[in-house]
Amino acid sequence: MMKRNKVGALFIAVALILSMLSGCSSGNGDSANQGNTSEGKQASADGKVTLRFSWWGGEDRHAATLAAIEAYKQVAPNVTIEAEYQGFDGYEQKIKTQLSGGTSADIIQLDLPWLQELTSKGDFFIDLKEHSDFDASGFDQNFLSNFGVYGDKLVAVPTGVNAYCMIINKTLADKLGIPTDAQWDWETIYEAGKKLHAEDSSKYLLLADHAALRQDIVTMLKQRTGSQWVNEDYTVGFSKEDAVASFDWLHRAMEAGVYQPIGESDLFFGKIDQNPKWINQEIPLAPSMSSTLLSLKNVLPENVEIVTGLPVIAKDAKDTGVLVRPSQLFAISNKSKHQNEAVKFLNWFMNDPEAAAILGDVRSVPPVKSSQEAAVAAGKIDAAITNAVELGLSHAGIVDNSVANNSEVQKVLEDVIQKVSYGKATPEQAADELIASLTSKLNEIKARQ
Amino acid sequence: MSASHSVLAKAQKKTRQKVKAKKNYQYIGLLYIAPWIIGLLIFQFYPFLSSLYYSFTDYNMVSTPKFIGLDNYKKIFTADPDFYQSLKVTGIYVLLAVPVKLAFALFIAMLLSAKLKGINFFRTVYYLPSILGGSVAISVLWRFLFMKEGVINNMLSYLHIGPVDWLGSPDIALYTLGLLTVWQFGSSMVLFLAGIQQIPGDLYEAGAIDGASKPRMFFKITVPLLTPIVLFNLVMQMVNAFQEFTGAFVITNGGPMKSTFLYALKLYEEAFSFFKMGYASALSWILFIIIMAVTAVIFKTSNSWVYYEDGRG
Repeated sequence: MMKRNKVGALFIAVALILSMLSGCSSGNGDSANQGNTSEGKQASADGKVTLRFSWWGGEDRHAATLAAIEAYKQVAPNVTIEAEYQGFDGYEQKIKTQLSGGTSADIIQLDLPWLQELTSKGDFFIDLKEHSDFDASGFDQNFLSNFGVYGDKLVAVPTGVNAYCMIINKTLADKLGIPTDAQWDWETIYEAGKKLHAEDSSKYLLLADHAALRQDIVTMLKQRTGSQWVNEDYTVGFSKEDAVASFDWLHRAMEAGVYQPIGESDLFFGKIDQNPKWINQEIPLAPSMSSTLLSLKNVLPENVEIVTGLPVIAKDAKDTGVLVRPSQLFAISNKSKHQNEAVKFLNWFMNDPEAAAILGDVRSVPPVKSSQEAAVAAGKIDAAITNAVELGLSHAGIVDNSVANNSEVQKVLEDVIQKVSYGKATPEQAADELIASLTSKLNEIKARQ
Repeated sequence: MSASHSVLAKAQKKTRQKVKAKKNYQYIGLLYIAPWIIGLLIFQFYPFLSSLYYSFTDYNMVSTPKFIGLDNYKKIFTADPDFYQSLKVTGIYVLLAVPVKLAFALFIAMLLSAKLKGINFFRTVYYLPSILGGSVAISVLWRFLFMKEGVINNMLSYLHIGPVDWLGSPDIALYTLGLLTVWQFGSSMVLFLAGIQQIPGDLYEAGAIDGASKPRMFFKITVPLLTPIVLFNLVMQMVNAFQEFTGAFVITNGGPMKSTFLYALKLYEEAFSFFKMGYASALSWILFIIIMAVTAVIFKTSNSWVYYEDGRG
């Protein structure tokens, strides 16, 4: 009896250890990473390949991307695509951690600032130029080289053309007597916002979290100077006077209720479509990227009309400051064991008319001309998004450099903006602090390079 | 003689067998505990030591760590105002949330120690919030409850109060987050409940005969006898509160105006938003030392306020 118990105990202990060790290995490799291990080895034998594809987005993007993955089964029956998708929150951290740990998906959706940082810190992605299976000829070559080429390598391709624009709830704006075809400058929008909030204190003209406020201040600075707000040589690109004027406008706008108070709007940072003020139609205008239009539209009743316009441009602007950039980018991990298959899938996803018709405008307007036409023909592109992108392209301002997109640099500006927004710093104090903190941060980053 | 020899030999054989069996048992014991030991070495000890090493390096998770001596620590203490802000916020949070949570847990434990029919049902119900805990889903729910147009303000409006900017005001947001942790009082409450039930009933009977009031019995009998559990709960909750992350990350993201910028958020931001893993490692070691120091102080002072029935305190 005793002996049997001992044998049993031994068996359980060994089983526990084995299960733990196997747990370790699958934990390290991420369950979905099997394509790189046992399944990967199998692939060569029976031709089956498993690829992981990770992206962030809202419900529409998830549904369309999953449908495209399903359709790819007909094109390449031997390839299984494992979808790893989520909202924006925490995606950046997950991807960066996976990349540094060598456990990232084969095909990865990235945001432009991260790509700029990642390519400066390591070699994570394959050079798509080296793969003849990928056809990059349909992309606007300028757009491609501005945003996808780093150190002569084509490490990523834009998922769509994204323009900063004014997303307008036309139904509400009409009701409130706010013009929807106006070209706003900073003073006209201030006056309109002040008037609206004075008439009805529950309403605000503009929807913005701190990231949108940062964008507005950066735009204002670029419009005043006609150049980058931080230079390539790690120096500040504006004067104190520029900063004071920009912060003064922000301070006045916050006081007058042009924007919803930041304490309320920032609870929905990165997910402005969940802001109850927008959903309850108490805010008519959202300065935002065109790629967010669908999620902002889908939370409103079907009979609400959404249109787009140019973002605010100062009367005497030296540069429009209008941001046109990729919605996101797709890259393929250089740790992928099935790079050729991943390239073939990406090529189909970006260039094939069938894929374009399924995906439509879930990542804004497709960057490949033929795909754009296919999506339009399928009636899958919202006219408001096309309008935003066309307006953006025709008024595009200077392209942000990588220093301006550095997350630490942006954080410095956001911190100062918060102080102004909460009335805890005067425009002068904020300008001094911004210049001092930026100078120090830029020096620190430069020293680390 | 030979008979005694054979008895001795038998006894020696038996002893050897016993020793062997004991050794076997030791191996079995070690095998049983092996998963935990291996887990400890791989998932705790190794990261623990490597983070100490990284704290002396400039390491961005991608390139090879560059040894820079004490530079990270120097920078933290001399050139990082956010460090002091996060330390201040965390200190307030710990001082606020831990005592309130323990007092609330004790209060509920007292209620649930009543000998009522179906009391187990209530015990389960009151433990539920701790199971749901500080998860992301609950944090999101908390945001919707406490936002300007949320349920709490709606309820207050019936009393003609508010609206209070629970999460949007730099002066209030931290306290609102503190409530979220108080809400997870279940584990402390269960320990208190177990402690209360261990207190011999005759002490209360004696107190009642001496004419002691209920509050007097609570402070003179219940509380002193619960002090070992208070000590345990205090240390555990304090350690947890120093490392609090989810609520502040999901609900306020450290805002407004960094009023909820807890230490763990600062650490996370440096590590996963700015890629400064060496710097974040240094921050984590500083937190470790702070927690160790506070724990040591609590244990040191516990001699004067913790009562052990065996007379140790």
